[in-house]
Amino acid sequence: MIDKINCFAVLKDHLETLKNNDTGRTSVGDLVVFYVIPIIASVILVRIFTPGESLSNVLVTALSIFAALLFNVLLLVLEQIRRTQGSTASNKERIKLLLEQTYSNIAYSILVCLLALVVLIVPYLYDLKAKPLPQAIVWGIIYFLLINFLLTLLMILKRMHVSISKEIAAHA
Amino acid sequence: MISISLSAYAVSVRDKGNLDRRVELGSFNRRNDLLDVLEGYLNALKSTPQTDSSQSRHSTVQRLERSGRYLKGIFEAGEFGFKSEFRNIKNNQRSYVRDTVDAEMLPFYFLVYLPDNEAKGVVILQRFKQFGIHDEFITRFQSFFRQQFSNYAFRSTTLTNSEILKRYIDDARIVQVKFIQNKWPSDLADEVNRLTPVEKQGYIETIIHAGYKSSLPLKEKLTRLVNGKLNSNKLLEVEFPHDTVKVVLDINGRKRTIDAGSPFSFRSNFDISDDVKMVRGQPEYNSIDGLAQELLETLTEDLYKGKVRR
Repeated sequence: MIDKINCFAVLKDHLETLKNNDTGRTSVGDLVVFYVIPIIASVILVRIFTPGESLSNVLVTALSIFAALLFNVLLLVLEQIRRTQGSTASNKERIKLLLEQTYSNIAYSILVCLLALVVLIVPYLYDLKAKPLPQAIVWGIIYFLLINFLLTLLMILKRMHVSISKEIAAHA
Repeated sequence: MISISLSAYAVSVRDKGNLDRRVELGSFNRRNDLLDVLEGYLNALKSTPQTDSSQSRHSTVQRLERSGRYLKGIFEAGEFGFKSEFRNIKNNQRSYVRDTVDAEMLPFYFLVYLPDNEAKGVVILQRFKQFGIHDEFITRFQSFFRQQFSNYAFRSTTLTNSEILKRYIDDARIVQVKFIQNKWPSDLADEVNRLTPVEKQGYIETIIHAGYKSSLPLKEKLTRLVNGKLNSNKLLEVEFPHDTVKVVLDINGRKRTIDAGSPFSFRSNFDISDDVKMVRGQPEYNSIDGLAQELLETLTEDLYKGKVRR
């Protein structure tokens, strides 16, 4: 019944990219950076910062734009992957793998974006100002998703930069 | 990268009744020529391959050429005695099932020089990764020789080149120092970013080049390294990680590569991995032959104090 909206494969493929390229094993460092640090940061932010309605508005707008843009970037990466077929680079297979991983990372960031948008709707539906614990939980999740999203975007930026630089160098 | 090297041995015939007597290779026992004996032995092996059941090794000679006082060719040796599957790595389909009587025959180049009026000759044998044919080629020939000529012994000693290397280092230009890292970066993006068409898959090389027609100022350190008085990581202290250090010498226009990380191995093995042309994972015959001939010339200059006679 939920097969059509089951995006577990998106999460799984993204987690596959968080491996040490040398050993092939899951990178503990990556898990710390992408998940543990956001958890710690979101706990700190929830304690020290009280979010207002304007923040929700800004985040909803920004995340909506990001989600739309990232859908476009997915198509660009797909086109890059197709181009590697005709590439003569000695490490063509590695470039292709990098692009495939970037594709998974972008899909995951869209998923995180959508999840954050869904959670951001909660404060609109329910007044949480008088309920500190639910407010803390909801905003804790939002902060976590936001930080995770930003870190994933940084990874995508690095990977796109490397891929496109290689493409430019190959055609220079 | 597949490691291909050449091992060099000095060979001689000793008179068991008079160990101090100088025995010429071309006429030991008054009328026997060691080169003829060895050629006969290898020809017999070519017609009838040998199977050593105790060592589970099978050997034969695939190619044998004689020219003057030289013998060269391809010796094949392989292990048998166990079953395994061969799979095509592209489609993971089983391509062959090896049986216990199947031996995986690897080809090994050999070059023998036995001057007729000298007491020492040179045998150069190819090594492929950690595999060699010293036992099949030299040790078995020793047994054969002992049976044929009971009063004589065929001897071989590893030709160490540390003395030769020390002499060469003085005359050579140190043109490159290569730092090889066998570890890939932990991020795939970093790996793709660093690899260029010049670098090879499987490891990363960082190369320090000498200027045009000049030499890196490392001769004193390299000599100490050859003598075993310096660790390879002290040759050139660098910040970036590396697993192996290789030094490329230019000796009168010819390049020689020394693995500074394994000083004992370069006393007896000559690494030609970077120089030999490979075809389908094996050295191309003419390429390895050329390198072996060059090595023979340099070794025999020292052995015979002059040029190799053809």
